Amino acid sequence: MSQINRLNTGARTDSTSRINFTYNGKQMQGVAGDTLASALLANGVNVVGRSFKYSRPRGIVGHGAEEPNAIMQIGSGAATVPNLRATQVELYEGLESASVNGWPNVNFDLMSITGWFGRMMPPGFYYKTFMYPAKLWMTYEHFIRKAAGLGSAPVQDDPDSYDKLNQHCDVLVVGAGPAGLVAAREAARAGARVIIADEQSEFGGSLLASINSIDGQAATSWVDELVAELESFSNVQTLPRSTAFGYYDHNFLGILQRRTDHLGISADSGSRQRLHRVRAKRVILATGAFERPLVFAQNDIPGVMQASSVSTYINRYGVAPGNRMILFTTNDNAYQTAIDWHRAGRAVVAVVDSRSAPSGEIVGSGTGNGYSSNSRLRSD
Amino acid sequence: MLLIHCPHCREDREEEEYSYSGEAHIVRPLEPEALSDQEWGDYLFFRKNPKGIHHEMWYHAVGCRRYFYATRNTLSYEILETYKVGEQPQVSAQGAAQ
Ligand SMILES: [Zn+2]
Repeated sequence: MSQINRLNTGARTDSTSRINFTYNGKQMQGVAGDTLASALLANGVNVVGRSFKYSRPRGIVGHGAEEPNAIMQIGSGAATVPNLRATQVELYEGLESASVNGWPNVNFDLMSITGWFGRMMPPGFYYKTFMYPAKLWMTYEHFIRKAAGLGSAPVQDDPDSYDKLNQHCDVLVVGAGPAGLVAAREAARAGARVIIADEQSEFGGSLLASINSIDGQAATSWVDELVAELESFSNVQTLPRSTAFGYYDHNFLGILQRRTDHLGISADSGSRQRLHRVRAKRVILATGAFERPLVFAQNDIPGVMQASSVSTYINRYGVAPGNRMILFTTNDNAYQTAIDWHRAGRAVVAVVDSRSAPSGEIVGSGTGNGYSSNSRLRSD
Repeated sequence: MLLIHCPHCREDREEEEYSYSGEAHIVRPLEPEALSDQEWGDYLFFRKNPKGIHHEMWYHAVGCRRYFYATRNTLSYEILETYKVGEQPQVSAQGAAQ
């Protein structure tokens, strides 16, 4: 397959590079800086899973920890890992990935025939309905097992090693978006011992997908400068790929650092993951926000994606996930996605705004950006 | 995982270095034989179980191996003070000491 949706304008990807990986046994290519999700979208993969009961096809909706559908089995053999979100898996050479549900495969799913019997399978339907007559249970069970559960656990011993570290600091910053980065910088300049942790591969948070400028400077280069300054301090410890997972009494936090997962599972030396047990004098939570999905009929079908995620794939990864877009919004922010989509050379078919008279600054900038601001619904 | 200040070591240490030793300021009767069974039973077995401010005894088991007292809020787990055996608390359920 070729990267039909690849743009050469991704701020954090190198579109001249090539990284080979497989998805459900198919050879594909992505680029340096991709996540598995952005690489799949670049290759035009629309269906990445099936819903649990009715096996409805599911596509990628988000771009980070909030992704509900793109659940993957990564690697094979002893070091296979089930149920990772494709949006959080960094692409590396030779990565093997497979969708975890859908049988015989996600594109042709026998279970989806359950969808044809909607009246006979009400929401309360439960697979044990099939238990009788008892002598047929063994037959049913074989197939029901295929329908249930996600992913498969490795059967061999884990070849990797793991370690832990007890740490103390004056200020612990959770999240390295604009707020976290500035907080860490101010604390560091004041001489405090600082730890800043972020779950993503690089610091910057929402700014990595921003085309706006800060102090007259592109947001991404502002991030690069700030991160470089942080790393120059001897009193600052930067922890990318590190998820703070628990906040306990008296400012005690647990942080899981993924040290080698992005290089390919089973790196030769060192621990694969490290648990940081941190006791901090002060804690700053700068964890950002998720977009809340809109509720409408059929909003789970492949091709429906969050506006912030569309912008992130275009601006950060250089991937335009599709050709024609209808934008449905309740607020001004999403208009940026229409602008981004238009700049990516794709067609904005319509902007549907639930408000009667949207009138923000960005709404008004629609002229020349592919959408019109003076009508709630515009069609090409 | 609480952080507890040992008044002997004069340092904040992890909860796992300590063990809890029950209610503080329980004085052994000078003449046990003069007590009724009920009074003796109260001394041996009956403890306050307050919701809020509580004075209690802790043992710095893997540190200095000495006992001390702590005033702790049993609702919030906040430790308001720690002090040596023989001293009196600065904070009580009635408020701060004069
Ligand atoms: Zn001590």
